[in-house]
Amino acid sequence: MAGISQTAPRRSPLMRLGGRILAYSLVWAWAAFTIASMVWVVLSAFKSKREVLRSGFRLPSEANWENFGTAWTVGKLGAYFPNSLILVTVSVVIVLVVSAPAAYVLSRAKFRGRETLTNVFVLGMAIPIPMLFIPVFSVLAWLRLNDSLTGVSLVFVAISIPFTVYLLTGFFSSLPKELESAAILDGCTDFQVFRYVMLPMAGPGLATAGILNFIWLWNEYQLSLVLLNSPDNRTLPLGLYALQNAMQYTNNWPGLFAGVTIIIVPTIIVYAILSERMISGMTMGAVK
Amino acid sequence: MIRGRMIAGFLTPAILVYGFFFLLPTLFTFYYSLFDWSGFGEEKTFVGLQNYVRLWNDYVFWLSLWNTVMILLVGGVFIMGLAFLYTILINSGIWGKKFFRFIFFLPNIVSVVALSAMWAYIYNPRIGLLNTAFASVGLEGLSKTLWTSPDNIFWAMLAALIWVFTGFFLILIMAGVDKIPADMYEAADLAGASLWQKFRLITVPMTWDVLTISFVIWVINAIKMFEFPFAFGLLQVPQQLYTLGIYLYVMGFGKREPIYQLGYATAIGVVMLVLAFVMIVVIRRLMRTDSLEF
Amino acid sequence: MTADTKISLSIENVEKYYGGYRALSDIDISVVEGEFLVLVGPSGCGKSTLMRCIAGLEKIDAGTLRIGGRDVTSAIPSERGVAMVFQSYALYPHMTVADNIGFPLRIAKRPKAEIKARVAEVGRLLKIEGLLSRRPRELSGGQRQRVAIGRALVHQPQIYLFDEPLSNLDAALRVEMRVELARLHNATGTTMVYVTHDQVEAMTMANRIVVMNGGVIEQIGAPLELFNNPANRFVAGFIGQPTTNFVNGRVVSADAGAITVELPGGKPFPVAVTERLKGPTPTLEVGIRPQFFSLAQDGAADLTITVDVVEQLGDETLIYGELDGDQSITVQVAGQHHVARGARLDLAVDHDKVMLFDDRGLNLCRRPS
Repeated sequence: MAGISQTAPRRSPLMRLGGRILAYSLVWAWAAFTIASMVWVVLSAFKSKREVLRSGFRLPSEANWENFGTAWTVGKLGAYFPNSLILVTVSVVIVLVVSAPAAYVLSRAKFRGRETLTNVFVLGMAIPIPMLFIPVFSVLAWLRLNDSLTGVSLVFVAISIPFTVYLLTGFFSSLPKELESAAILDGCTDFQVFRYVMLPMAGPGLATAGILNFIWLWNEYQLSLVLLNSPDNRTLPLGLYALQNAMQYTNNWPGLFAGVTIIIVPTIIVYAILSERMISGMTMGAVK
Repeated sequence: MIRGRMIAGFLTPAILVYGFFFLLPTLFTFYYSLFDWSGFGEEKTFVGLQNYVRLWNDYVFWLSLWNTVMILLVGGVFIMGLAFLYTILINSGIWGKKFFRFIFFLPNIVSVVALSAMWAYIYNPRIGLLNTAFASVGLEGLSKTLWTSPDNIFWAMLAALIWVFTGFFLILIMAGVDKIPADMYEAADLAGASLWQKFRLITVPMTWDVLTISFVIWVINAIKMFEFPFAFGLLQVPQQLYTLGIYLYVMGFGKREPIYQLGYATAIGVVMLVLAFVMIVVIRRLMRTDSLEF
Repeated sequence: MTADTKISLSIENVEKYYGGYRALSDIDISVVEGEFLVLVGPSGCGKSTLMRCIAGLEKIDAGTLRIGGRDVTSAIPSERGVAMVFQSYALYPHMTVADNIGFPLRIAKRPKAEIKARVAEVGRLLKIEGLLSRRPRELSGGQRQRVAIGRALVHQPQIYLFDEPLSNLDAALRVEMRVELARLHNATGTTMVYVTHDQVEAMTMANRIVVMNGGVIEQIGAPLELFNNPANRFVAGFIGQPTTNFVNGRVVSADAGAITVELPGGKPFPVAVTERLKGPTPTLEVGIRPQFFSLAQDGAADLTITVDVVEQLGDETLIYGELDGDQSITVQVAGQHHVARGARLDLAVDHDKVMLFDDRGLNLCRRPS
């Protein structure tokens, strides 16, 4: 063994330094591009229309808050913001209320067809969403819920169930079995075991699922695009999409960037605070 | 020993919502695809497999399929390669691992519409970040490039997609790499393994499961690709950007003028689903190994 | 058993199956009120399953369970009058210590004032008054253990069930908690059933030990009874440390009261037996506990071993060696002895303590202790 380790190529300190510099420059190149383009977009939201066209990388000469006013009123993001907030909040709450009990039973109860049912739920993650455009539209039309936020919220809940059930099933399975036994001996009914012991212990999992679903649904726009027709019902992504299309004719770049800023700031704040939890939630299923 | 009544009660709401608004519509897709159906209020006419025959002879369908496959393959190679490369670079002991992970994943939590607006700005021929940057370093020729011209727009869109998804798969692969016990590398160091040997003999086999899942997730994402190219293409999405999802939308709902070929559009949906499942099975076959215990 | 001893727990012909697998067969135990009963056996022997059946966490497939004379075979766990302390302690991590201890009362919808008073009382008894507002993750292993016991105490059960409660503690703390549990048992005088795989715990704590193996009871008895007088080869091997030596011996002669055996490379010696040999038997398994060897004086050797490894423990010496024919022998002798590896060592055996096992593993020498 000693012979092998002596003949193995050892990297010189110079090479190691070179490797370090290479690693830093490649990683920073990517990161700098990402940061620069995002910052640039947000900064440009404060520029005037003419400044955007000429100033290049320079900072805005003064903060033009009126761009935000334009996006908020003329672009109607002010009306779409509450639409999005209510739609997404309600959908996230419902998806948790519906998925947590299902995930609990799927991970902790013994019954025939349990695995099949779990697979059916998880299968949803593999179904391409565009495939649902037409049939979901017709289901909502049949229920007279077409072009309504209520209808979209039900669809949002449905498309969020597969991932949420998957994440929470993993979470519930990881909770120790003895706690269940202890609770039963302490006099809990099956429901009380869930209510007082397992559900509170799944709190972090519920929070993770809630945050991730909130971000996804906040950004969701393909199904909203198909299912919401009247301008009054638009969500923020649809409003921004309309703004972007209008921009082709108005050339109001700063107004568009103000809209972009309005839509991305909430998610970036949430992400900045909770990125570790979100990333671990994202990777939990993939890395056993 | 949870009793049956509670099991039923706990499952029913999820099954109802999921079944009614997700599974049932999925099954309807197969049914609808056998009809000629020209509007949500209209009668359906049964045409058997006619819609699929039409697809076979439809140039735009093949173009959309081609674009989807290009996203899947070319995008996939770049995304997985870059994600793995950057995982290793960020994990090589440089300062700020969490910060870089944060930045790389960032595009995935930003609205796709916002991203497409941002990239429209980046690619803008006159005021865009790219051409301004080329001009400022004296690359006058490059700074005149029309990045969103018909010849370039697909690749411009794909580059942006790669930028978005690399961060997503980076966090997956990094989580897999982080799970490898450090003493494995220490043992390899003691045996005198080179960097390449450690990568090939430890990192890759130990992250095989994560790689398989990553490929599967990418296939699903590539085949259902709709939002980014659609927003990137704006109101009149050029055919160069058509994916299966976009063509489905266009045939179903039209661009400016409604088209409402609903049966035909659902046939495209069926193709997407079948494609996704075939690809998943193929990947699982190709990447199957004995599960590693560690 | 005298007439006035009350049976606290009676397990009658209990069977338990998992699919086709028989986890418990024909379990029959009577536990007297106030008794400390230890269930011991290797992992997978069914001891934990039996405990979960007593608790009602598992349904039994045949037989009857009575607690305090009442048939609880199909009663739900909380109505059986049992409380259980788990291996992992099973404290609710999202509740404070006080809430953990008071949880059974809260579920039983007792008035808040009563819950508070009982929790405080239990806290005092277990000397954890200062920890009541903490959460389990802020406690040490020993403190968690006390909280778990506290939660059991507040039930005021007829029977305490302990499922390997000390196995997550380090060695020093384990000894401390062992004494503490014994003290608790003395103080409450309540029946306790205790599962462990650690025979030292079993020997030190039990009034009676139930040795289980493969879902059946091998023997029930007082600790020393099991040590001195094991029913069979399994019990002889399981109880006692270091493990009993089992050696094949040649039967020289077999009379009604004694069998003379000869070990490889040794001299024949007679062993008093209580059971008769059935039919001619050329060899028997001879069991000798490591403690019942002594270094032989000149010429008095019953057998000779070749020394392999010697462990000096200070007050005693463990010698590992081999008989002719590759059978290994462990010898425990008091004091410090220096023996070279490979040396030949003459040993004498306490003939009265030698055990003989027939081909079914039954002990032929059941000596009343």
